[in-house]
Amino acid sequence: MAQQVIEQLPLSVQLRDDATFQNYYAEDNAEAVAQLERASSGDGEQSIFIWGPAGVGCSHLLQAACHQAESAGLNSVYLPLEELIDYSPAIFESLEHLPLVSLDNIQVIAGNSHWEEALFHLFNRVRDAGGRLILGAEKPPETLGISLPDLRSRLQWGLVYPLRPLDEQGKVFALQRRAKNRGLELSDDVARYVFNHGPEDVHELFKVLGTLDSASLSAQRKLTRPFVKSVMGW
Amino acid sequence: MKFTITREALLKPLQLVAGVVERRQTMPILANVLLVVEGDQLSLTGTDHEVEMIGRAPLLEAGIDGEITVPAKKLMDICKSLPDQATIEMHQDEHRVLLQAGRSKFMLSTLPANEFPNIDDVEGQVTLSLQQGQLRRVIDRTAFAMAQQDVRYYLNGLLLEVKSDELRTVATDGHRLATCGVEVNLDIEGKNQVIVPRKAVLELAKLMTDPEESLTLVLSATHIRAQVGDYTFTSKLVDGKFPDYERVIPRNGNKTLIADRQALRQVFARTAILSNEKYRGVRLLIQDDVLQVVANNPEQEQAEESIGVDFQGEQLEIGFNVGYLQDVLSVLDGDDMKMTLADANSSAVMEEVEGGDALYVVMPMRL
Repeated sequence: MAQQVIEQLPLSVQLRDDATFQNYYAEDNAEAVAQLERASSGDGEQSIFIWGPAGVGCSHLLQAACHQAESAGLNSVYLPLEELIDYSPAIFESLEHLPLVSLDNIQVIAGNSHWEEALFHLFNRVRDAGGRLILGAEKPPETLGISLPDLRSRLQWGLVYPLRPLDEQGKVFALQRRAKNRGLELSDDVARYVFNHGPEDVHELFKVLGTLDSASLSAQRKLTRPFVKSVMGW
Repeated sequence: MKFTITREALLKPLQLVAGVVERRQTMPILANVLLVVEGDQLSLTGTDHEVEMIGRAPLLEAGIDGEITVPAKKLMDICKSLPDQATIEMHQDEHRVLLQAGRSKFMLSTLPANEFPNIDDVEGQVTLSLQQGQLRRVIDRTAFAMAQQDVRYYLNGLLLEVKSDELRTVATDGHRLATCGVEVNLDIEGKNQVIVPRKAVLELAKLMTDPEESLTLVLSATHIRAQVGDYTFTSKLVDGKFPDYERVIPRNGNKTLIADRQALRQVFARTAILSNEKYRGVRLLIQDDVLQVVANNPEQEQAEESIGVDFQGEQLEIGFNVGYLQDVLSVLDGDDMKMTLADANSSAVMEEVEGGDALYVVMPMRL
C-alpha cells in the first residue's frame, strides 16, 4: 500500500528576500557596489557596466539598484533583455524620462542590428536627459560581440567593472545571510551541507532556501541537517 | 526593611509578578522578586531580562523603608498556603528575610537589591490610552495563533498595529493567521507596528481584568510598556519585520458555507477523536447543503458525521487540521460561522456571518 502523504500547506508568510545591496555579499566587488549605490540615488557616473559569468551577481546588483532607487523615491526600470529579445526594441522608447534604467544580459542583443541601434540611441538619450544607465553582461564591452562600433565605444565611456565570483567560504556565508533575511537560522554545519549538496549555480543555490523556507514552515521544523536532507532528497 | 501586609494584598501582585519569573534562569537573581518598601507602599518586581512586571500593594501601616530580593516561587507558595486574611510580617535580618504569619515562621535567603536587573526607562515614541477591554479583546481573539519556538523569530509574537482610528493585532504560525481590529480614537499619527513576544502577550493579557478601566501603552523602537492600575509592565519587542498580512488574506473565495457554530464545534470534537494524532487531519466534503466530516487514523479507524449547512458553490473536498478549525470556532462570537473557500489547495477564511471584528485564515492539508 502506498504510504499516505499528509502535508500541512503553509501560508505565504515568509519574508521576502528581494535582491538588495544589503544582501549582496562580496567584498571583492565593493567598488562596483558603491558606484551602483550612488547611481541608484541619482548620483555619480551616468553609465556603469558590470560583467561576469552567470552566478557572480550581475542580475542581483542591477535589481538591487532599482529597489534602492524605489525606496529613495526615484522611478526606475529593470529589463532582462534575454526575456525581451523576441519583442521589439520599441520598449526602449521614452525610458530616458526615468532617472535609472537597468539593462541585464545585454550580450543577447550583440549582433542584432535593430537592438544594437536602439540601445545606442537609448544610451544617448539617457545621457542627454541626465539619467543613469546601468548595464550587465557576461563579458566586457570589447569582447561582447557588438557590431555597431559607436555602441561598443559608448559602453566603455563610463565605469566598467568585472565582478569577481565568491569563493567557497563566501558562498556559504552568503547563503547564511540570505537565510537570515528570511528569518531563518542556518548553522555553519547546515549551510556547508547545503553548499556541498546543492546546485553549483549560486542563483539556483539561493532558490533552495525558498524551498527550505516553505518546508520548514509547513513542518514547523528547524533547518537541521536531517530535515534538509529529507526535504531536498539529497 | 520591615513591613506588615495582609495575605490577600500581597498574593495578587505576587502571582502576576512571579508569572514572568522563569523556572530556569541564566542568573540566580532572576529567580527572585525584588521587594521595595517606601512608606506604606510595597512594590514587587519580577523579570526575565526581556519581560518585567512591577506590582504595588498597600501595607497595613508604614514599614521601615528598604529593598531586598527573595525567591519568587517560594514566597508565592508560602503566601498561597497561609490561611485567608492572615497578616504577614516580613523583616530583613542580615542576609535573610524572616516571614511571620500567626504561628508560622519562614527564613528566606536573599540576594542584594542592587544586583537586580531592571529595564531602563522606555523612551516613548507613541503613548496611547485605551480601555482594557479593547486590548484584551484583540489579544484574546488572536493570541492562540502565535507560533511557539518557530525558527522565524517574528512569528513567535503578536503584531500590534496602532492607528488613530484602529487597534489591530495579527498572529500567525505559518499555518493559520488570526487578526482582530477594534475602533479607537487616538491622537497619534501614521501606522505604528510592533511585534510583542509571545510570553509578554500572555502576561499582559492577565493584567486586563477591568474592561471599562483604562490603560496606558508606551511604544518605543525597542520596548512596549503598559501602565495598568497598580502595575507597570515592560517588555522588549521582537526585532524584525512581520509579514505583510494583507497579502495572506485570500480574496478569491467563491464558495461560502454558513453553519451553526456550536453544532459544528461538537461535530469536530467528536470526529477529531479518530484523526491522526500527529497531523490531526479531517476531511470536509461539502455538497449541496450538507457538510460531511471524516477523520481517519493510521490504525484504520474512522469517524464520520454530517451536519446541515447553508452552502453556496460547487461541491468541494478539502482537508484541515481540525485543531485549527476548533480554535477559531471557540473564539468566534455569534450563533453562526461563515467560511469562504476557493479550492482544496487554497486557504479558507473564517469569520462571523456579519463580518465582525476578527478574521481567520486557515491553510488546508493535503490528506
